[in-house]
Amino acid sequence: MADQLTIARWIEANRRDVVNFSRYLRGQGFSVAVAETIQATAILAEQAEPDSLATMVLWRVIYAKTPDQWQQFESLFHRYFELGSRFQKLEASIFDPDSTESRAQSEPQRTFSVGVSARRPLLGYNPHWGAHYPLHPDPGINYGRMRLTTRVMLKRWAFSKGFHKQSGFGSDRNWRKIMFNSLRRGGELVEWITWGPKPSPPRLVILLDVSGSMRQYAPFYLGLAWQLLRSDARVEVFAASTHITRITPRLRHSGPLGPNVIDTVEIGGGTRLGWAFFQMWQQYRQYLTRRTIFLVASDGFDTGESWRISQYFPLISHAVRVVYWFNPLLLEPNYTPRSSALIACLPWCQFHVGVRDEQSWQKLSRDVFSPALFKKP
Amino acid sequence: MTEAVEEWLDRLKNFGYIADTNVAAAVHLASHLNRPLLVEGPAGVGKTFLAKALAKVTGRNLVRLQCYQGLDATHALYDWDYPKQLLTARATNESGSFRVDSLYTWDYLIERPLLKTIRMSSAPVLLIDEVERADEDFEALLLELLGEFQITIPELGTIQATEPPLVILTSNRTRELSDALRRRCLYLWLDYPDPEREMLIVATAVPNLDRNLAAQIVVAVKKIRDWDLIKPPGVAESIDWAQALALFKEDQVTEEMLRWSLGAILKTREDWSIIESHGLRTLWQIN
Repeated sequence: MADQLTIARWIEANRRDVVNFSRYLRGQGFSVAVAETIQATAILAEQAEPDSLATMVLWRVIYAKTPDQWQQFESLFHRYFELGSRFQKLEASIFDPDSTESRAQSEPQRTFSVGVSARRPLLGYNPHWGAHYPLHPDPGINYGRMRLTTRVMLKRWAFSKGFHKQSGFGSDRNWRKIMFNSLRRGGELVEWITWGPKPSPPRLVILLDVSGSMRQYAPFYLGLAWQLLRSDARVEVFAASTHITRITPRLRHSGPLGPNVIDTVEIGGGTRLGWAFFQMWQQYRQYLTRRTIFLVASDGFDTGESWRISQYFPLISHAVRVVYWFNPLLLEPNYTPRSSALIACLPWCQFHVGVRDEQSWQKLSRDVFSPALFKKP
Repeated sequence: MTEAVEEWLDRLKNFGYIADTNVAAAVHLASHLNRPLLVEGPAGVGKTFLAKALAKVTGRNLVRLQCYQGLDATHALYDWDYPKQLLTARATNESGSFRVDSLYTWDYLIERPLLKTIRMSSAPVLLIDEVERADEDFEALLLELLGEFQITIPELGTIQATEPPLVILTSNRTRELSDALRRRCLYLWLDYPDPEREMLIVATAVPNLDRNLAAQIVVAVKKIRDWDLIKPPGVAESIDWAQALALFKEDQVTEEMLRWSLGAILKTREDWSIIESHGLRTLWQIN
């Protein structure tokens, strides 16, 4: 109640700061035009006694343009209007008992994710590493900016060799339209209309390692998988730790601030990539076709049986079109892949690339077909 | 909450649409700011019904454009009546007074729903349903209408709406809509309602239903939504199921009655097998 009063006073005193709020939202990936700012100002001006809840509900309709923005807006609104401090304290106590308040304030974007974690913790538990970490798409990513990169990447995959549809979608005549147009023009054959070139969308199978060692990177990969899911590509996503779980439907209904992607009771600790590949081959073989691009996001630290990796990963690699291994550690200076899992897998991967954030993903989209990146298995 | 929003809540409720504050706020802004409203959400949560309810509440006509793949300007905006033009050209050419311009007048124009909406003297509620089913080219066609409430016909000029219609666009998110379209609209995310509101909706839609039975239906539907079905049931399915169960006019729901009526909410064989694997007794307390 006191918080609401604070906001009301603040809004009353600083109406012109709506502009700053719009600017703040732009920084969070919202596409805010001048029209939205004008409308938000008009709505605020019409309220005789500005009320924080009503303002939030009305502004959300104006500012949000996508479901994830709709979900994020409430947290961003409260954070901007100085309600975030209590979440900052909560974050410090939940996630890092040693962290100082000053550190929490130096990373304001973390406040946002903690606001949600405080209400419904989305945590994975790993007895091997003894770590909890959020298992939902990273809310700190600027998805608006990253979407362009993802689109470019999907287009490159779609136009890569082997993904063009055969006859029926090339330069074939669109007889329906030709006949329709000629009938409309009194029976004269006036123009030849052809189908545009339509490459079939790529089919992706993504295996995400969500073990404790991937704590820092899993949210980004979940975010990337979530964004790929929202494209026109056919995407299947699996989370792997001691076993694999198909998380496609849950990720589809999730988002940066959405519901649980993986339940804490479902996911075990440690990494058993060999077991994951075995399960993938036995249980989800229908997804592994000659058109499939298989993406593995893992650092390669494995606690399982390496003979399973040697046995099943080559089978998967043969079945699919191409295998990408996203290794977050590859971006570390002086890193050499020495783990037994990576040694067994890398000969069967066409691409072993360092992707762990927006910048590296963007770099991959630029370099994806450069000869330097491509390695013969 | 502002009085206007409260007022919309009441008005919608009076016409059988149980809205929450988000819906009421969105509707209030759409009518107040004269901006189109893009409503997204899972199938069967009442997006289309919202437009119908708005038409009733505001006393306006409802013009509905159902989108589909291949929908283009000639089906949505306007088309020229080519046979009529051809006949006129032949007839007038013989008399020697033929002018090409005379063939491009309102007499030869066939109005499609969007142009009809713009030209109506009293502005209707325009429902552009499942807009994501149409091609991206069609989205570009809509931009002028949604931004300016006008349509430009090269031969006749720009036709401006005398009174802006209340435009509702719905989408089930089977495809991402363009940023240009989103930018021109206000946005509302309509999710599955909470159990209390869903019970109220079911009770409103099926007034003769026993209250306990309605509660059980809502609880069971909520369970089913958590079971990762291919087609999770929406509110419309809850109402269908309630109507189906109400037809039995029995106090106690038996296993057979459940099996017979579950077709109202389960639409695929795979979903049936998921329910079977969980067991009907997990879904419903059967005596």
